[in-house]
Amino acid sequence: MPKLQFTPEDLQKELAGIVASRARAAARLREWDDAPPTHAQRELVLARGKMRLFRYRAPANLASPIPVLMVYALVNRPYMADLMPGCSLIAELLARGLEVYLIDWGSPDAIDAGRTLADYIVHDMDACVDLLRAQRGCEKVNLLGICQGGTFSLCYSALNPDKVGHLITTVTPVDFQTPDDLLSHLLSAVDVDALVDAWGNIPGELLNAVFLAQKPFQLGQQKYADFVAAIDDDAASAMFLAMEKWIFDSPALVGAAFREFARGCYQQNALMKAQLRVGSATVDLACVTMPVLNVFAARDHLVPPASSRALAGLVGTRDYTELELPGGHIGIYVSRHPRTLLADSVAEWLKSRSGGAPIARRKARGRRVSGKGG
Amino acid sequence: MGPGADALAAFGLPPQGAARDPTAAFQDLAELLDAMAASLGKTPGPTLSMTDVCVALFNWLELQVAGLRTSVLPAIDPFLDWLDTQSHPILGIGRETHARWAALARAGISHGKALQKLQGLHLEVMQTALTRCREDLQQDDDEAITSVHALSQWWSETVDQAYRERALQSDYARAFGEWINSASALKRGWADWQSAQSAVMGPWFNTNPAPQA
Repeated sequence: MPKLQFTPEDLQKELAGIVASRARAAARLREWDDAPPTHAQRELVLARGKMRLFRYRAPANLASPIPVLMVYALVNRPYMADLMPGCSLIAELLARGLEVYLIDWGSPDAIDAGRTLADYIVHDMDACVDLLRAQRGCEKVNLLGICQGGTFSLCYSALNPDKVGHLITTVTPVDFQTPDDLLSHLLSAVDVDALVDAWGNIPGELLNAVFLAQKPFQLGQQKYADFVAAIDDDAASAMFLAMEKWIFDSPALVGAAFREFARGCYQQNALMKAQLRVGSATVDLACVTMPVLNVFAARDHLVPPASSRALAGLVGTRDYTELELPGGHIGIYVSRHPRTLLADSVAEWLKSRSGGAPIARRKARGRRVSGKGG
Repeated sequence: MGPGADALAAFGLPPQGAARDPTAAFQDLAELLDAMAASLGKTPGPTLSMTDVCVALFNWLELQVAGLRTSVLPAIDPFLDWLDTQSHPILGIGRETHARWAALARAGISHGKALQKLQGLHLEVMQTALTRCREDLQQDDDEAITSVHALSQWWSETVDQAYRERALQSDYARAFGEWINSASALKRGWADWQSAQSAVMGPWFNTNPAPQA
């Protein structure tokens, strides 16, 4: 059968419909309130430079006495985890009895250009962890890292295994040089020093351009055609606009930290080789001895699954669990099905370790859950 | 009536504030398709196959892209080389500032060449994708495309796949690196020149100070 199954009349009718939909999309944009959202109730518990630590309203019946500290990336903003009513990973974790804290790294300016990975990991993260330990009266906290925040959490856990009870990494790059990693490939010939020397802090717009370059036609063109086509679906268009706001609401990336991360992780793959320097320390993932839940997305175009799964052979713990979720790099947080699976899995995994047996090696509801011991 | 009414009319646009039928732009589509059918030697009207139309379109686009790759892009080289010869040192108080300006110009030329190389690779990607689409359209397929929107999705996926395959090759990474690195040099050169120029023009001129390394 011929591939194209529409007639010139169909074409004419559809194009006229697209013009009408574009007019409705323009009207929708005119009434769009694009203020950054905060939906779950939260309070500021620590301010340190640009960094802010927020505590979300604790649920009445805690499923785990140990708080979960969510560590976000330096790229983009953490409200992706609390995007809109009905689309909030944080709200779903709260609903499952977890107490959630969130680190927001803020918007750096020129005065921050010299901040290093050590400033974020050794100083800021440690201040947050120590505050929680003191306030909550617990010896250890649980970390949940998102993307680069997962890499930060791995580094922190390796350097401070006595302060981390359980570690959850989500879409976290570990092996930065897998053959299918286009982002890493594109960075391979970039003179990172010259880039940082020229810009100071790396503008969010430049980062976004590189991210769009992973799928230029789908991300730069087709998704807007899809938005127009679905303009009469209020829920879908509201979701699209919220995501669009988040995607391009990008703070600059601190120059010195970018230099260390791009060279150390991407160009030298030093995390894989136990050679990544964070301040005066060297990160050896064999020192990650607490239980680890490693979550990755099956269709992640920014952090290929193989990059995250490399963690299995590096960590020192025997209680290691992998979870593959359907969806893409951000889709696992904002699409209903994978987000619910993620929240369920995190809550169940933590609860089982608050007194029960580990659930590694278990298969549940079609998810792939594998472990390397218990 | 606004002063720009005549100008708008010259571009075939309605005057400001005039009511506009959103489907008006497609009233001539049937005529266009008929003309296309005639050029393809087909019978105008409902018998015209959209496959024929799209194959003709992809053919035409392939020709344009091939022309850009083989004729237009290489023609930029002599111009950039000529530009590179159009600066010599000067004497006097502006000498050092001028030297920075010359360095900035050279950085701009290097960036232009890097961009030209990258665009050549992008045109190659476009040509690959257009060829794939044209060939696929001419074969029977179980996965039918039943709308313009689906056609657009298919095109986006095809060209992104062709791009990904090309971008994962080492020469693309080198070209991408050269583009970013030359942009860094251009940014730095601009900041250096502007910083020097502001000493003469006043600090207000220095709107883009060089970051402290």
